Amino acid sequence: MGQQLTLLVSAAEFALAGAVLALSTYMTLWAGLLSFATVSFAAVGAFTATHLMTSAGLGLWAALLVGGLGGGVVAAVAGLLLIRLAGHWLALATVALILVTRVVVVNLGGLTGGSQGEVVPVEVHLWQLIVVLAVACLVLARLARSRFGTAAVATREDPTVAATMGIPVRRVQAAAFVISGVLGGVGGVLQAGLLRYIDPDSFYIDLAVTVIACVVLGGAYHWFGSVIGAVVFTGLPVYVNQFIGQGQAIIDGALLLIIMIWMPGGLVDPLRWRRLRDGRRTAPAPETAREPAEVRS
Amino acid sequence: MLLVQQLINGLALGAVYALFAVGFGVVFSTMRILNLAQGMYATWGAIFAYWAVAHAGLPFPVACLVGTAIGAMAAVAVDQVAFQPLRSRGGEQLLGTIITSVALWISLREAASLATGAAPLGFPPGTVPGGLIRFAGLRVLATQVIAIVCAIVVTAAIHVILRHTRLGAAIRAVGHDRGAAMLGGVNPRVAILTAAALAGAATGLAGVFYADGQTFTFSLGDGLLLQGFAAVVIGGMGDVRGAAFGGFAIGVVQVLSAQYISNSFQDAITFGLLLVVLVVRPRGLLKTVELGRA
Amino acid sequence: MAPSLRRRGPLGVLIAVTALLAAACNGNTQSGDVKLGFITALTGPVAFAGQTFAHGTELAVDQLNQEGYLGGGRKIELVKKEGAETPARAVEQAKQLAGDQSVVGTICCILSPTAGAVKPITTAAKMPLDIYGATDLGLEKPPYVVRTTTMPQDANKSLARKVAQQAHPASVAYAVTQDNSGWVSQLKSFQEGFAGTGVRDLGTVNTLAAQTDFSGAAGQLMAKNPAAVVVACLQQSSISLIKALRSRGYNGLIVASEAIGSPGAYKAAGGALADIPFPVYFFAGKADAQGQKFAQAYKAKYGTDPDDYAAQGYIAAYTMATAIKNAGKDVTRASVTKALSSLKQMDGTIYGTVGFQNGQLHAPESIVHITWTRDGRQTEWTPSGAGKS
Repeated sequence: MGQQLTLLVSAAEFALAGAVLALSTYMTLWAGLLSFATVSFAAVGAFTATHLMTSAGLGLWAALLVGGLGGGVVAAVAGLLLIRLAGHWLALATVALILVTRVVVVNLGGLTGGSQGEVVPVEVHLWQLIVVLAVACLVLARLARSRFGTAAVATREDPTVAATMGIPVRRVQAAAFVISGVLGGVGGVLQAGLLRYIDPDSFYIDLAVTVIACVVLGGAYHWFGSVIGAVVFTGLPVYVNQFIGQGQAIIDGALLLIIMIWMPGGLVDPLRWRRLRDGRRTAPAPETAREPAEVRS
Repeated sequence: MLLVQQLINGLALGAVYALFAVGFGVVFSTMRILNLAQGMYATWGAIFAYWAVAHAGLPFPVACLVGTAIGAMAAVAVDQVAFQPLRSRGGEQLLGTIITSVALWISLREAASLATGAAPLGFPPGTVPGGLIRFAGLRVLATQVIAIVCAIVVTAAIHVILRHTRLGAAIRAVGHDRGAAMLGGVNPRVAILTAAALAGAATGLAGVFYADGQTFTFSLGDGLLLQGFAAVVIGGMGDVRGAAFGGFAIGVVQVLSAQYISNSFQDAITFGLLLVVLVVRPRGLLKTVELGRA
Repeated sequence: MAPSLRRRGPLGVLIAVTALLAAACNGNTQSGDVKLGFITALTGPVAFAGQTFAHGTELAVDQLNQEGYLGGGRKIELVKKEGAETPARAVEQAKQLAGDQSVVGTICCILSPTAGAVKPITTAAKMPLDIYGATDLGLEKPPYVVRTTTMPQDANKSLARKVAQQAHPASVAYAVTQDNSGWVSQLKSFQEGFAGTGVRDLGTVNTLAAQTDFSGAAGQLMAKNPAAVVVACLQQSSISLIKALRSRGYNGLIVASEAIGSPGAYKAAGGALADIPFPVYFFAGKADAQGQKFAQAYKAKYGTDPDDYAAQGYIAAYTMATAIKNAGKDVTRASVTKALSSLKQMDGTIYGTVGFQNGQLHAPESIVHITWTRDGRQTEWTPSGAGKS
């Protein structure tokens, strides 16, 4: 079973790195912003860190710092420009950002390896992933209980009401965007360390789609949902890949569809738990009651 | 002369993007769905059109109709499978529909890969109108002219349907406020299915025109999705004329930038333009009133 | 929807998937079999070529096992892992093969970036790697990395020489897939072949790997008014560009790479490929007995003639089998590595006699310049048919 163990470890590693990326996307969603930009932040972090690891012999921990910093800076700039766009326009803009990022990566051949990509010299190990994810979770758990957490939830529920309550909506969203950038950058470095080889397609639409699926299907109303979502949707496929060759994507798609239709709140859904607890014997609450909490335009 | 030649090539390429963008824009503005499965309508439209020509021996115009019909049917099916269950739950569905459209995107893509054996396909010689129009040193293919004409006609037709018919008014009303539309006597289901079918038809036709002069594979729709996406944002999606304009603009920009600047910056220019437009004029270059938004 | 179903739906699927996994885990190897890793590309960007490569490899293993090539009743068991020819996925599969010590070697990689990514993984695990399709210069690195790709650069150069000497085009323009270093290097080999022959170089038109519309590129090429056009592009790009050129009335000579040689290419392009010379290392019409046998078995099994890719898949497995055979009784990664890297020559292969230099297979004698006929057969190219279409 040695091979099975390797496989499981590998699946766990990808799940952990995926969880960090999913948390990055969760951060923006928390403040009511639907953003795909995590992948762009990850690309910035990964390529910056890899370049420094190769040229300056940076170790993993330093690389993570650099990657987080890089992601954060880009997020700050992108946030300045993009946050004022309304809901679905921001989604479009961040998709565009991913496309532009790829073009930049392709054309900065000297720094990124261009379309050829480059080998990542430093390997990431399971325990390092666990440490990083644990730190990220701690930070988010603290944030959830802080004033920021309350403000973010209020902003997500209804930005107009939040503003009248004196919450600085724009600043909350900008802060969420920057934290998302830092997490994205860190996640990108981890992902690069796992892949051992990155090219412009390593951080592209496919990854963006996977990450957003992790968040939504895991449960977009609690940070822990993103972690669970990542385990199910990035870890499991690595393991399942071995047994299903062609046609695997059809199964993936069916799974996405089924969960989205039958568990709209995701796997981790505090609202539904509360409802189950409160109203076990009473008439089920109308589904629409929760809808205002969804991202609005 | 080379400039004019490349301008025509750009317009012909842009015609395909325009058709795709029109479909994308109709769905986005009436249903507010960011439909990532849209490229698959084009892929399947092209595959069926190819089968119609290569295996069933049908003439090219019929194949175009087949591609269009398959696109429309795929769009209606996707809408019913992926979007209707969420819609019936009510509320804002942007996030959920992105996920379900992704689900359909990857499934339909894999199915297309299996159906074609991932092989490159090409319309057999002689099945596509092969005429070459030469004048004043220019060489224009008959298929290029057909694509441009069709893009203009289809855009105009969809524009007329949306703006000047009762059905179109119903579609716009549903996009604006479903509850109010129902109170006003509109059957939202009919309106939504019509909008989906129109979008799918335009996209299926885009797929056929994208495929007819070249070879293509199951991933045809992916490239089209990104370019069509750029076109629709640049042109503005409140009005199909804006989306079509965006499509033509992207086609011309791509071909001319490859000729006169550098091929490697072709995407940088397209998507950079896209980002600039989003930041500076989020409603698109053509100032239009967006459907369905107050 | 019933409330109970709401909760059970996805869980049920997960449980079913898990059960499926458990069932699939229990595959075991018979003792006496030698495990050979094979990272396939049956899906992904080059799936079509990948399937042809895989056909060749599988046929070789079947044939050699039937013949008892390893001796002692031992057989080769291919451990297939789908890498989809994307570096990340292939690396993941290579890691898994590396983790299984009973896998004594691996065959991989059509695209150069994939090969570049897989190489460090297998080398770190001291597992011999045979690259079967990637063409970038310098990928081989013995003792651990050997390449049996028949290098198109040598073949392109010799084709360019022949075209210059026999068809005498006054000028030539080039098209290349610019964002792929393998094709850039193939372009250079064509240019080297034409250099010093008096054929005027009118410049190069760049295309991109993801490009699908070639009307602009065709316009650019034709504006140069060249007597000959060399197409050094990915298979799909090559076909599309050739179609775009011919449909716009370009009547000059087009010269292409081996990419247009597969039966699928002809199926997609039809007569547009007629009279376009391209170089191959394996051509059934000129192969010797061993090659004929391969061609017949291939046709019987898969219904088409083998192309260069199928032959490369075959020779990769054949080479690894030879190394395993030479490794003696104790077949380990170390012994196979030693046997593979000390391989200097193989006789009686489908290419005839082939040599190895510094980990790279060479078969210069077997280069043939062929072309498609209008009705989809392959035949040796002669300049008489050129420029007339």
